[in-house]
Amino acid sequence: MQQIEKFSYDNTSVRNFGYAAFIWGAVGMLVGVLIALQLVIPQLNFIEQATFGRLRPLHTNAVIFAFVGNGIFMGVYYSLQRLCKARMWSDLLSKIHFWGWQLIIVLAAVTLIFGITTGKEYAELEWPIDILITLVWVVFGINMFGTILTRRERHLYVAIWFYIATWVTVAMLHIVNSLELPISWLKSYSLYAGVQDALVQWWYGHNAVAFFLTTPYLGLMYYFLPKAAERPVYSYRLSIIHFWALIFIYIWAGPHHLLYTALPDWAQSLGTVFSVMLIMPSWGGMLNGLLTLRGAWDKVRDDVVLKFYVVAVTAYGMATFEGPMLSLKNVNAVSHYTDWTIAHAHVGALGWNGFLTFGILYWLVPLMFRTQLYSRKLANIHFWVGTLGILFYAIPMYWAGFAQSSMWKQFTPEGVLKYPNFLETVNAIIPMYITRAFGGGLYLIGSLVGIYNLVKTIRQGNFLPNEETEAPALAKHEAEHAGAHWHRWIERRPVQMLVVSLVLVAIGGIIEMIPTFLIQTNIPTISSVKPYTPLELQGRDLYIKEGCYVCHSQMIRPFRSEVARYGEYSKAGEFVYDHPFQWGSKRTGPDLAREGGKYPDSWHYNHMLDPTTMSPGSIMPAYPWMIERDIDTSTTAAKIRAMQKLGVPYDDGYDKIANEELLKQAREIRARLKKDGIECSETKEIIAMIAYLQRLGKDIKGEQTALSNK
Amino acid sequence: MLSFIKKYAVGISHVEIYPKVALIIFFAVFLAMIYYAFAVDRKEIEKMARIPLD
Ligand code: HEC
Repeated sequence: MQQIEKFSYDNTSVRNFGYAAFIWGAVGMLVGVLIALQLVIPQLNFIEQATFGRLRPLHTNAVIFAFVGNGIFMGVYYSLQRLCKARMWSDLLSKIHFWGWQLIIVLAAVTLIFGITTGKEYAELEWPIDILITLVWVVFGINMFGTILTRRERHLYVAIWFYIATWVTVAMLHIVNSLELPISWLKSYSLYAGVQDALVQWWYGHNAVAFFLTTPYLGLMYYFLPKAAERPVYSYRLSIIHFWALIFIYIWAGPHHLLYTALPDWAQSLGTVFSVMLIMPSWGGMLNGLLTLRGAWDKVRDDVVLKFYVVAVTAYGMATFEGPMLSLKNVNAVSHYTDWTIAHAHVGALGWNGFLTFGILYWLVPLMFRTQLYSRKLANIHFWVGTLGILFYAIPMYWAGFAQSSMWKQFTPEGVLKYPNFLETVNAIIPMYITRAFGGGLYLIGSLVGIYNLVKTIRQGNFLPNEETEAPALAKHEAEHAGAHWHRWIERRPVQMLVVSLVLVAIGGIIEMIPTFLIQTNIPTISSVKPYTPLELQGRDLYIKEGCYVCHSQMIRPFRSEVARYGEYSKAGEFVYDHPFQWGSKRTGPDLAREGGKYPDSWHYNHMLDPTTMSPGSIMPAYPWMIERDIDTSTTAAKIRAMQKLGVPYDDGYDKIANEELLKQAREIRARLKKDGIECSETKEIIAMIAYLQRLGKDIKGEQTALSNK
Repeated sequence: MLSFIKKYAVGISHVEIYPKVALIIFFAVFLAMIYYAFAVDRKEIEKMARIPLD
């Protein structure tokens, strides 16, 4: 007979992560509603730190890493202990993990609003924070593996597989994508440039969705859904297939974010093929979740927790159906750069992540506080208001995406663009932006009702910090009975699981990236493409700092409609000195890849000071401080040296004369402004900004190639 | 470091083979996994599925 061991589960960490999830969730959503309103009322960009370009990264980071991140940790800390029949391995590590993660969030919020950013979407945080993230992630990993290795249950339930794969893949993605060369404590350049940077970035970006927003939440689904329904998952076999197929296929799909760009064709095709295949495991998983409730639908009617789960899993199904569709080239040609993508992301974020998190909270909080939910009625209100919020958000955004895209592409019978003024296509969708803000507002109100309900529940309850329990110790050697299966080798052994997961996810990345990195012919060099001048480089860094890339792309696709609007389509060779790349992913404003020479310097001066003077009705924020503030020339030399290290061919010793060159070019711009009646010192930021904008796409201007008629 | 690797690896040719390799690896993994999922003992499966509930 085995010995029965007494131990306790740590509920305190679970509770803390839960608190953090709903506090940061409210903050992230509030910022979301604010930026939604900024697109309708640009005057809401009232201070520098709260302009759209800086708040949008704050919103995405807050929702993904603060709200969902803490949601993951809450769910993992709760379920892992029960599934392993063991307390979290180290209380100290649990504490470090919790406070470390909250510190990262605070640092992220502060740096982002001050324009300290790497300019790579969802990986905007600068290098010291990147290192901190790595350390805290390792702490989490040690704590998790410690728990798994000291477990009292021989089998590793499938949820744990999802947690392990999440941990190892996120670690890999984060490290590879964050490789950067620091030039100061708060500024660095990506090690990769142009096409390569784009490929790494979207390999990361796509898999952040896969392995931060999806796989850990699937693990949670496989634990909390059966728990709340009080019945095992519909098919455990299916869950095994779901797991292996999902982690293996997901990692390949990244290039679908770069269709029709300057990325080599074979990589684009690879991304599409794997994206389409993804639908199978995703839907397998969704059906597995929903079918768990078969014969229990009467329960769903009464149990608000199950209602949240049902909508969450349905949203997962919708988003994962849509994802592969958006990866088809002809659909992507319409959807990309528009609000369609935003709609897609929010079905996932609000439906899948948001509702699953709230479902878990409604189930977990009463349990840990040994009480009943304060008000079922309020929870139901939250459910309905939230669901309406999702609909009011998503439907207008689909419409906006579709409508705007078709306006971009229409020609008159005479063969000229029907809507040559980009702004006209923006103003046409403002009503949809208003409805979206309303939908987002509803969702936020629902969440606040939920938080109120949970706080009331907490108040009336009595928290159980350590849940006493007992379980037999795990026998060291279990006799292998006949017919023991080879999969035992992995299914009960977490370390093997980790290694195999890592190998599987690494294969995808390696096969995709190595050729792009190593084969020179993948990025044809264009001899007329020259490094940026020091002034342009400073201007480029301002462009990154202000987050212009969240509204502007710099990537003209080879379509007749785009070439007619913006000029010659973009070539891979044009971006070889772009550390980091700035292709963007959303055109709230027009593409800027060939902005250089389109307008006189004075146009840009006036436009940056107040966009509506040059473009009446513009929703672009004004940047008046650029006219006041001096360029920080103390960094010029270091920036040039960093670029040289990264392989940009500036002459030896160029760093020493860089500032002279900078001033020379700045004086020329000042003189041109003066001719147009504008007095401006050559030391101001606006001068660098103008220099950069006027450089964009100039290197190969005038070249023309045959293009597809899309 | 990157440029060091690059210098020696520019020789890799036949990128076309990469997608094919990818496909083969993919199917191998996929088949192995399906085989496993259906080969496991029913009792084992039921036991594992019940882990969260007890
Ligand atoms: C909220 C989204 C948004 C942000 C952030 C934004 N813009 Fe814009 N931008 C627009 C819109 C919309 C237009 C089209 C209307 C207009 O001309 O103002 C535009 C137009 C422009 C144009 C004129 C393009 C043309 O060819 O007509 C330039 C240049 C420009 N933006 C530069 C910038 C720079 C530089 C930044 C960062 C400092 C920036 N934008 C930030 C939305 C944005």
